Amino acid sequence: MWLLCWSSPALAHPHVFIDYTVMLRHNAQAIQGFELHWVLDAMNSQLILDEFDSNHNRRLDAPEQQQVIALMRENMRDYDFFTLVQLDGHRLPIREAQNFWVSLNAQKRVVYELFLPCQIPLGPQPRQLQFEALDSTNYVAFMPTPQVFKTQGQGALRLQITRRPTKIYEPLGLTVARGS
Amino acid sequence: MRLSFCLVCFVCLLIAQPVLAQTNPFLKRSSPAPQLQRQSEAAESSEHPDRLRAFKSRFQTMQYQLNQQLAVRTQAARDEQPPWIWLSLMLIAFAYGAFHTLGPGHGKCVVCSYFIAEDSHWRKGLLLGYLVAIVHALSAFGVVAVIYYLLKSSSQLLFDQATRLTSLVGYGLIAVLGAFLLLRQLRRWHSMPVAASGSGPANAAAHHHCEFHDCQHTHGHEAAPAQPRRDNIWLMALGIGVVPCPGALTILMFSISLDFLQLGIVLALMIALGMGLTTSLLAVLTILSRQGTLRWLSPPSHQQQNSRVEHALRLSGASLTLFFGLLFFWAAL
Repeated sequence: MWLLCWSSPALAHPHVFIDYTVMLRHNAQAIQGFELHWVLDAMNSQLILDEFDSNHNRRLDAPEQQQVIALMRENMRDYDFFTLVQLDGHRLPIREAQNFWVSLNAQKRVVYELFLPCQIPLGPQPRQLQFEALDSTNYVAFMPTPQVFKTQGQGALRLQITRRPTKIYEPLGLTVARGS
Repeated sequence: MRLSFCLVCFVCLLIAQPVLAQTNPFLKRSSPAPQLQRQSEAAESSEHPDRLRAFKSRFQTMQYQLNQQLAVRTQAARDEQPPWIWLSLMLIAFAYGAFHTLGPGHGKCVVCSYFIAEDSHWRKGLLLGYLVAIVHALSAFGVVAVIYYLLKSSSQLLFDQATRLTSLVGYGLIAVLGAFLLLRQLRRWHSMPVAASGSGPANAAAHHHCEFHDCQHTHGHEAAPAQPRRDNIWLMALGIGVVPCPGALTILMFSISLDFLQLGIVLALMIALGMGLTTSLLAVLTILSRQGTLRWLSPPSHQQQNSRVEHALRLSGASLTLFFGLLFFWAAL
């Protein structure tokens, strides 16, 4: 009977797997957003290539890339771009994605790159920031890469990683404050 | 009273858990209601107890690793084809199917609901479990044959639409079967003699009456429960299995893209066998649990209570089958 109750979508089986890295972009006063680097699994990469590589040159040319982006950008908005950001326990909405780019890497795996603007003013007091790559329907599972987190920006930032994800379904935890 | 309480709690637990149709979010826009549900679930995701999150994390990471191995070894098999690659691939595919099915989906709750409704031998559980898995695999073959070979397309959108269409057909069939089981059980319930369905002084009087007279009527509780009809099993397998597993579809299309269809067919069948193992084990567990529940709640000396418990189980199982059929049908719309 317990097994029948085991219907939480968080346990549903994923069919798409993505290796992800997140880069936090900032300036001296605020966090500006998150730059995401997603690498699709080999099987689904091949399926994407089969569908969109219309000239069969085993590459995604610019028009083909645009087709992929056009299809996915609007759909991902409904899923908050598979991102959950919380500041001091409060959820921050993710409304748009910028600089959306699709390419193939040397292993013929599809790579998505996108920037999620998320303005977070910083002060001298540390704040708890949590970032999670998440598909709440669990069709897609996000696996953190070994170098899952980077920062880029101008100005000093006081940052401490309180939790580094190593498996699917683990969030990235940070404490951030303006640098002195 | 205790049984009613347990059943109410059980149903409430089921209803409290959200059920979402599995469609590729990269391809399909969501409807507003599921979107709001997803947002609230996403916000709550980090609030789950740490041990549960850790278990979920390990479970999905295992599937990630199996998926990686399948991809790497399939490419290796195409390039080199040493015999041991095939064997390792088949074992990995079998494990992938078994683990994959442990999570929600693939009709386990419908199978279990069916065996709560129907008093069955454990062999029926094995049969239905493997029938569902085989129909799953055949459905994936059929969808690929129609879309890739007949329509000459590899569009993910078409596969998604095919999955949605088969979901509507399959879950509709399950809902119809659930309604049939429920109506049949309600008819049985109403046709039970009053003396057998009641309790207390009236029933005691009926039994007392029969001690002194040669009563020709039965009290209902002596009747043995009927075995499930064979065609119900086949209908159930068709209803659940007709929805192709996206995992099997992906494996097939991946193999086709590598010009290695025969390996894809073998791997899809091995995934189905793994799925069959998990589903049939759960079905057998449900059957044994049902029998144990009956023995626990109604000892042999209480045949009248046995009849009530049996009827309650059948009614709840049929109701759940109908409920899941309608719920999944609605989710697929």
